[in-house]
Amino acid sequence: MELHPQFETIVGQVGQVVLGKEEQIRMALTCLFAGGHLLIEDIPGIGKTTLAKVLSRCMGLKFRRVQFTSDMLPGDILGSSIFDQNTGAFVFHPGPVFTQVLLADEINRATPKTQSALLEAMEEGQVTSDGKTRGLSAPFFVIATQNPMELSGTFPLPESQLDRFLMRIELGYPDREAERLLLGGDRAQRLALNDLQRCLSPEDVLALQKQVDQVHVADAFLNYLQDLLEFTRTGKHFHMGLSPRAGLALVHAARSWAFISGRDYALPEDIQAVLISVVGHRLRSRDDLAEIPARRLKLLFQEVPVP
Amino acid sequence: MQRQPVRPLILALVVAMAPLVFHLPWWAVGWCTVSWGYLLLRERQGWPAASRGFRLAVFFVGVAAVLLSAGLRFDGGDFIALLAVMAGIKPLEIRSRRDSMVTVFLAYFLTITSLFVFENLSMTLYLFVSVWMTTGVLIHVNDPRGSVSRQLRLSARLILMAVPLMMLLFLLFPRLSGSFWGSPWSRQSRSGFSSSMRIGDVSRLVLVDEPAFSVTFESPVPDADQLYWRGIVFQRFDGAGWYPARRQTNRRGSVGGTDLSRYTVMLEPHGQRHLFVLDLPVTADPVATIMDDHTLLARRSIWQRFQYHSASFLDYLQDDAEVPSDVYLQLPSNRNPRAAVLGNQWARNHAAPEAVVSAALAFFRDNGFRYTLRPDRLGLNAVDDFLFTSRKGFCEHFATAFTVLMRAAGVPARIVGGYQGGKWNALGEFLTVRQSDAHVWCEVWMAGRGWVRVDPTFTVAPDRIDAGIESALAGDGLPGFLGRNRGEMLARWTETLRQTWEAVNIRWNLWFMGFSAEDQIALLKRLGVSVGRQGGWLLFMILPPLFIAGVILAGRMRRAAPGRRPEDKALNVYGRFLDKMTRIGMPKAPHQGPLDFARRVVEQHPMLERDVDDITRRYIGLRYGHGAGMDALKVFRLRVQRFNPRRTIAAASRKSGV
Repeated sequence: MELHPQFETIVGQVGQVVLGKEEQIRMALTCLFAGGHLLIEDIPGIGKTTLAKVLSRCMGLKFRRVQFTSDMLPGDILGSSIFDQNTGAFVFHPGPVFTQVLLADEINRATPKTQSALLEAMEEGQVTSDGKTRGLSAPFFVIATQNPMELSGTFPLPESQLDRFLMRIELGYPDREAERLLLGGDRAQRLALNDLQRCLSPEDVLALQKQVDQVHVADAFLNYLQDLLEFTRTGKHFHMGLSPRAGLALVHAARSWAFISGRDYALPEDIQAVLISVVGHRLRSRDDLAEIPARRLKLLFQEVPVP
Repeated sequence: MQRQPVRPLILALVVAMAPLVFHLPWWAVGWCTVSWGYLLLRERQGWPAASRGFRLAVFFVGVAAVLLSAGLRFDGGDFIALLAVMAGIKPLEIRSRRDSMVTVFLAYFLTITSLFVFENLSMTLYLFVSVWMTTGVLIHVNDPRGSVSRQLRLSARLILMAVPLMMLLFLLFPRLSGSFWGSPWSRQSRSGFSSSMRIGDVSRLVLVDEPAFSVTFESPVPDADQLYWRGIVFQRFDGAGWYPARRQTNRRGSVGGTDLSRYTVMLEPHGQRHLFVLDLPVTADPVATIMDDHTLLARRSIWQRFQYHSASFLDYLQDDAEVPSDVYLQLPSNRNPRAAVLGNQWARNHAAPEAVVSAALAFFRDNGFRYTLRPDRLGLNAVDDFLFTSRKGFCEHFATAFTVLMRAAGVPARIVGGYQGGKWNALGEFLTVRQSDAHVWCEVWMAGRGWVRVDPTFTVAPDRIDAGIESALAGDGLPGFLGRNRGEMLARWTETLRQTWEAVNIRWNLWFMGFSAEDQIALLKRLGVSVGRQGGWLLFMILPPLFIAGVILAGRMRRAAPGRRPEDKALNVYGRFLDKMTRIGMPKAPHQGPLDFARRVVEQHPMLERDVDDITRRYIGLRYGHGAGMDALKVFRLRVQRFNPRRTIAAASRKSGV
């Protein structure tokens, strides 16, 4: 796969630390430059946190991590106003959300109230507390993780909230070779994390995001996209078809993917590349309302011909 | 590219061609049978497709065969043969969907062709079936995996939906007066009167059980003995046959009377110009002229079913001003001496022509003449042999003998050929006249009365006129339809059935096939639209709306269909590239994007990398990029044209082999 030279170095850098996950790194970058948020669904210890850390470090972005628990309150994320006895006024103490890359670990452990506080911040790019609206820094990128296996004491995100995430990916186990490298070179890897160079600045990231929006989408591309949307709405496989927001998400993601691939126009392949990540958490099977495994989803979408 | 459904296509062709089988030369039928049979077998056995050279050879052989069998006279029938030959070999080269579509349209074309050949109701019904099947196959070609029964249902629904449009076009589409198809489509021998009559012609004709024409009357139906359908008048006799006058004019004496009969005749094609009318016609359709011998002559030969109106005075009186010329006394010299002697003898004994006629009729009545379809063979002096030896004959023998006797006695006489009688169909209220009703009778000139009809056959076999030919010939031991040797019940049933079918057919012909330009103008007039007879209204009423509709439709297609803007044209060119890849066994899956496809091709055939990558790059640049100009498209097209994967692979393998 061709890669924009600038991103080649980023993927290479991150790849030094998160071994054997080029595809996922690339997807995470795509999500970031499309201006969306990423949901990583996987078991613990697979490298979710590392990925988020390395990404933020590479981009030169501020990084905060919040471990979600069931007794967490919205204020714990957004921040709260505390009475300052010296000045006799309430002073706002910003919460961890005031950062550039926020890793929301195990988001499904928090109560829906707390979850929705974060999700609103993600959607609006601002936080309203005590009647005062405070803008978040840009770029703002949330990487949320959730553990699909442990269900006791969790509040799985409802579909409407899943929709706020541009992409959902799974990391999966590293392959044998990568794992061997990991196991054998533990120390070297730690070092690598600390030695990582900043490849970009936050301003660069913003500029790149702007460039992604300039990626050309032709009529033929949009035709294919609409065919896909139509397919989910009229086909007999899905409980509910994709929303226009999902369509927009696909355009953004495909543009971003095309840009990272070093093109200034989007191809059907770009949609196909991001398709499963973008729509996987937005579609339910008609038969049992369960999520459709990625492999099956891929096969289903092969029914839509490229015009 | 997927396999094309050859079997359904052949089925469509067979259904479309079936009605034409008897109109095609035998070798063309065999040609199609062999070709299609081979294809079906090939489908089953999985034989490889015929090579290009073979197909070309077959094509040339087929065209040569058509040209040889047609010769210089290339008429409609030969066009049909050519079409059939092409339909026979077209399935040999079906590979792409486009070929299948062409084949389907060939089947439609064959279906239309049958309309040139047949006009009857049953064929029209069959054509619906044929169109239904062909449309079903058309749907199948485009959706090979769909359920066949559903496709047939869809096809039926499409046809039903088209019916209102069909009606509208039938009523309003401009018709041209006269025969549209100028030249006849098949000049097969038609039974009926020809322009000359040899003795024995009529008795052969009588054995043909085909309708000659049918008549609906606007006035009361005349009695059976008045139903003399006049067709052609014979003037010259050469001893064996009769010939009409060489020159005819339309200067005729006036005809009067009191008993006017108005009727419409639906004439089956007979390839001649003469029309049949009751004695004696006074008015005729503009399509024909009444000649000086009171026969009707159409402007051109009748090769299609033809409808005309006429009116005749059954109790005609005519102007006797003109004494006929001597040609009506002409006899071949040195023939029939005994008849001449007898005629001369009558002329001496009787002064008035009426007396001569009575004498002749008495001669026939009293000398044991028999009316039969199986006369004895007659020699050179046919009339003498008949009059004095065999005394067995058919109407033509009686009429000939009578006329010869009259002329020998100095009474101007001539023979009229046509039909007598007809079968009344009570169900449809019309009269069917069959070839078996063919008849000839005589006319003699009498001063003060003009040409008077005399039917010597009537003297011998009065039944022939009163009850029709079958009863007159009863006991003649005739096979088939004339002889009544079937069960009485069965006969009555078949007769009823036949009458019903004919009744339905005649309505069909009257209402649909006979819907002419004049009828159309009348209909439009009733709707309040007044149009002239000529093509002017066609120009002003039909063409502009059609043109506008066409422009709108074309505009829509331009917007909807691919192939106009550079990026869509790029798709077409890319399609050609894909065709080439398919031919080397690398079809693109529908869901594959161009890059994916290129990657897969290169994995399989690394030697194609340069070409395929270049073509793909140009394609995605044109189609998905920022909009490249026509120049880029041109380069792209050239690139695809030059691309020959097979040769590149072969060259690469040769190189690696060395």
